[in-house]
Amino acid sequence: MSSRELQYPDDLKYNEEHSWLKVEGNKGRAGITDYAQDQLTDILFLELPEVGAQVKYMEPFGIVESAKSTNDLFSPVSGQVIEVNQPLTKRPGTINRDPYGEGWMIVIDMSNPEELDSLIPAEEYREFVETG
Amino acid sequence: MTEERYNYGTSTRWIEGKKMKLMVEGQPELEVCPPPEFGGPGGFLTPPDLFVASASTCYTTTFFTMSAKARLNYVDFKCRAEGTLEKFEGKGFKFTKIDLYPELTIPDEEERERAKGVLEASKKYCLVTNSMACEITLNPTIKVK
Repeated sequence: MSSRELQYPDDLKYNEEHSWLKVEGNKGRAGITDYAQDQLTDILFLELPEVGAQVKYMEPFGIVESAKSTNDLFSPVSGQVIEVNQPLTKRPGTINRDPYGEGWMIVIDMSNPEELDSLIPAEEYREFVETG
Repeated sequence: MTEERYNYGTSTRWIEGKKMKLMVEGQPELEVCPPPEFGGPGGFLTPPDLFVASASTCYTTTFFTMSAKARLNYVDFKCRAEGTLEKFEGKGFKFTKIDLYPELTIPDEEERERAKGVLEASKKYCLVTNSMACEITLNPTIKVK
């Protein structure tokens, strides 16, 4: 695990499955958090949905496999996938290096913006992971 | 405190001169001698061979695990290892370095980055080289065929 301090950007929303969402109007850009990548350790494989796929709030939208474990990726909101960071599947280690930047995974056209209310802000997410 | 523990046992028995049997339960016996530079007859496996081989074989088995996790397709894999044994004044010899030269052949150029990541992770998680006190270097070659 990393010895550097984990990051929890304030402009993102989070869920307890360690996904983040950056709200961009009706759309949301999603990925996994710095804490998640740190726990997973070296990420070796990533499976993402196709553009056009429907994803559902707190249901799996992909798979990530690291040197340590295999995990589902949980969508922070429901909607249609309108962008996929396909190059990331060829360089999954990018998620370890830049989980909130180049490590973004999908952009979702949100079908139920009310789901945003159930996501938690940075400080609450930090407390959640730090208190276990 | 450890989460898991495993034990591995080997034993040796003198045969004649400077020759011994190396025994691992359930496995064929091997004949082992000192290397010629330390008075051995030559033509047999030596402890330094086994030390260096433990690094390359463990690196290779870790590669098997990591490439499976990565769902990485490959058409060939081999790994050469070179150990450097040096004498220190008043302290005898010790291995100061093991250089690993894995050579991975993949069918798809687009997988080069992932292949590199798998080779690096295989070093990072190799339990034998992680247990060695000497420097371990990784010198990978990735080919596309």
